[in-house]
Amino acid sequence: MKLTQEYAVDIEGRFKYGTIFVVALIAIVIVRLYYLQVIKGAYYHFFSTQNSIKEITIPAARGMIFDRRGQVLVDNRPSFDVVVIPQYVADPEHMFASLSALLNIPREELDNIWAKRHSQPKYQPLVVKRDATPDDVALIRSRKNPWYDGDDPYDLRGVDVIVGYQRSYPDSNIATHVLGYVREIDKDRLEKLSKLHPQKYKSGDLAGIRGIEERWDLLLRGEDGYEQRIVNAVGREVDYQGIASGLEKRPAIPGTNLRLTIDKDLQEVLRDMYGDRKGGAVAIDVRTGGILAMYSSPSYDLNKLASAIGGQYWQEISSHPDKYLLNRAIQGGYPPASTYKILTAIAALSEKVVKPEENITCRGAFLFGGRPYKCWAKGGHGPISVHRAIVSSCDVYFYVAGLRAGVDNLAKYAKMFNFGRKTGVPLEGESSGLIPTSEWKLKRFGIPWQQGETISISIGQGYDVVTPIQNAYFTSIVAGGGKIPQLHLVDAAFDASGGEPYRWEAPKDEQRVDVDPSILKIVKDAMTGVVSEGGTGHRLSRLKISIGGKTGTAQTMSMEAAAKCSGEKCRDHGWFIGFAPTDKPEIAAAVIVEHGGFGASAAAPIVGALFERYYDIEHGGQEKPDKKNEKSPEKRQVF
Amino acid sequence: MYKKTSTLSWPLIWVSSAIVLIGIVNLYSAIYFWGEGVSMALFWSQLAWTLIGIATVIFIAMMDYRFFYRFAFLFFGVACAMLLLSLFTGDAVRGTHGWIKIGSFSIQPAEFAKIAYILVAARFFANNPNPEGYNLRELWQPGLMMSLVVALIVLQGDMGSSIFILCIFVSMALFAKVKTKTLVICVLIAALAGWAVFNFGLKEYQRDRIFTFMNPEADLRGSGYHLMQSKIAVGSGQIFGKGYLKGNINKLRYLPERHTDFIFPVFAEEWGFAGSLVLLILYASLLMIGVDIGAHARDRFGAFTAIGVVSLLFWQLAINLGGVLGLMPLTGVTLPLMSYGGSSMIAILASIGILLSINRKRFMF
Repeated sequence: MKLTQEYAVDIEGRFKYGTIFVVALIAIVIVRLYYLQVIKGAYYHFFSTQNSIKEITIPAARGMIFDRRGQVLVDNRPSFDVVVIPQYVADPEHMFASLSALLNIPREELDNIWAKRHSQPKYQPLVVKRDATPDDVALIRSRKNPWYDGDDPYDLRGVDVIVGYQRSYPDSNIATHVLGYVREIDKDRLEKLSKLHPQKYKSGDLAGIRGIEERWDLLLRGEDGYEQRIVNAVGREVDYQGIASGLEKRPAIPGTNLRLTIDKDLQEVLRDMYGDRKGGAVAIDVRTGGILAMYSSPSYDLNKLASAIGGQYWQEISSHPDKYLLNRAIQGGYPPASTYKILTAIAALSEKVVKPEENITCRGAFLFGGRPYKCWAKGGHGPISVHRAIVSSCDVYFYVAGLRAGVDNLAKYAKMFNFGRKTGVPLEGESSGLIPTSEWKLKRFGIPWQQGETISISIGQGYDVVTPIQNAYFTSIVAGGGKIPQLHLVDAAFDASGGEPYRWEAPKDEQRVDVDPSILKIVKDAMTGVVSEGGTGHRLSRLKISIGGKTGTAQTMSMEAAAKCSGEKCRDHGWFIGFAPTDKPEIAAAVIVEHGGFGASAAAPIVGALFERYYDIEHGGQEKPDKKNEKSPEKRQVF
Repeated sequence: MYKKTSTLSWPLIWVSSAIVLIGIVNLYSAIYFWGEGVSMALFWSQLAWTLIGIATVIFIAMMDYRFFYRFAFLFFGVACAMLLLSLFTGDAVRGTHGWIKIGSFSIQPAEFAKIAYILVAARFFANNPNPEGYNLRELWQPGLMMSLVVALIVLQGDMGSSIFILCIFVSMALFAKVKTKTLVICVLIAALAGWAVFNFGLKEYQRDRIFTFMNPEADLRGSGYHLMQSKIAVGSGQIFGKGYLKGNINKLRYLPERHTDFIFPVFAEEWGFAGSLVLLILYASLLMIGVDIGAHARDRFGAFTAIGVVSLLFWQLAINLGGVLGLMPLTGVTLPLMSYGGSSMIAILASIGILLSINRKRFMF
């Protein structure tokens, strides 16, 4: 210590503390650096690369969907999605204000989208505007300033435009319910799908909803590829020599294309024939079980749903009283009405409670339990056998036949033909309809079955509920002579490189109903008579294809209520089930028109047009050579 | 008797030159980005400031530091006046005032106020020795002056610099010895005041920074983002660093305020633990030489001034490094001789000039 001139006793010994503090500080910092750089160095180094590498998704084109003859049902078009990548958003307030102003998106909507960022990694984009117009894209691209400096009116840091694909439909409402649609995956669905198929789905993905798009989503969606890029903190890609080496890239694998059993032309017939009327229709290839047509009216516009206003459109149709989203073909339950008489006939004949040639006398009504059950023909049909009973749709005959067979026998045969249970058509949400049994009624209502109720269900009223596809399936089995084909919608899945990951094959062991083929022949002939022998379907006899079928007119309310009711809604549902050609059936169909009135006038023409178009497609429109049994209708009948 | 030759402290000159040189080289890297046309204007202006600073060092080192003793209060008055002036004319740079614009240059009076305060405090302690230790009442003079400067700086919203003045005052007082009883009372008062300030006196962002420090992972994109990126930059340098101009965290703009508060991570990322060790040893040498110069000063004023300068550098190092390494909350304090900033560079170089002057005079009489 050399403080010489002045008094320094007080501080002489204190300089050492200065040195101690300095050494302590530097030691602490060195220890900390040792921890960060040496002990945890590799860990932070990993982060430093993660920080700067961004995986850019290369979207896979979704598989296209074709009809059975290769006509395009669903196509893709390029689309531009405006997204926000939370990781790169510097100032959410300003950014959203900018986006809202530029793209005209309400703030609440943006806030809702922004809230989703918590459920996913920060580098995953949130779609703020799907399928943006070229103008929007230009607006974003021109305003985005990578050197944002606080004075810019728009802050678009974190906003990006992703090129993707959007579904497009050459004919947008032709097969809506069969096809389903594609939407951004929501939280519930993501949870569900992630459990079923781990690693396949992530937030922001598109997923098929309803119909084929949902059922075949995994194949259709393909696999997104990715490309690693070096990006800086404002999300801008950086190209600097030497740093881009070793980046990975994996191309997208396009989705698999599907060829359906559906025929686009037949769909078109159904759409045009239904017009504004509601209902559902199914046509089945009798030989294979392929669904040739499936239509539900009202249909909705898939192109509109895929457009920018899709969300609003969906809100509209999903809450509409006409139930646009309901696929009436597989979800609509209706009383089968007179079409069910075929089943009653099969049950009674098989149980041998009536003989084929046995006549039952119809006097216009049937007295049972002191109550008259009327036939539609007030004058009655007189003594009548099963063939004529089906041709003229005599109610009394089937009251008697049904009573003799009994509720549970009717149910037994109904079940054999897939009534009262799902047909197994590979679509979500099929309903199983209802065929009552005595046991069912006791369980459901605690009351034993009443014989009078058997009378109602024998002609397809009362508790009976069937869906169009069940009725079509039934018709197909009858027309095919008892063979139960496996219902299917997709014929083959094929990809661009020529691979064919899926092709439908008929099951090896053929399923048949346990019914004597001769009985099926009897009802089949009778159904042919319905058209050709001046039966209720005689209007179809003039077509160039021979048709067998059965009309049905389902009461929607009691007689008393109907008498007071007026307008469209009081009318009955019109059914027609049919097959063609009669000698070697190829196609079977069931059509219902809600509140269409008589089956003969409402539904039968639709089936006629459908079969005629089918015939044109398959047989080049030539006159059917063996249409010889044609009789001119002598007795005009209303039904 | 003593030699009458003037002696330059060559170790101090070498060590400071080394740090200044490293600082310049590192600043170039800090400002340089990949893949974008980046203006290097900041680098050239810092180079100019450094040259002015070196001229200042030479000028001050040649002077007799007793000049500062004589005019300590004048300097202090001028510094306070400048602080006051900047309150009204200041730009809202980084949300705080505290800058005076002269032409295209901005100066930060707070940087000079620190030096001025060291001088007046050193003058007080030199003239009022108290081997028994000071009590609170006896410290009213430097305490009042400290309060004045702190108040002015706080009014500008510059919390970081105001803490320094307090730290310098406390360091110098402790060096001069404070009564144990007084110390205990002060600690209690400080704790109470700290609690009150935290709850009522801090701005939202300041409180956030403290919360962020406590739990940096909670808000990775807000204020926690800065600290996380800083730790990633430092840690990813590992032992030997990524190489000059190859620190991707900085080069890709992940590091905020990379040329000021976060200059050390830029260095640590590119030079690793080995390079950081060299830099820290240089800093330690600088401070220890400063202490040594104080210990060998000709008079009490020289000793206290040297201790004041050392404590200024010490706290600036501690608060900056502690912040960017996640040892304490981030305060927005620059790293002496490394960070960009003309005022700071000149002020620090001037204080080193004062150290040189004190050293030069020690054997003169």
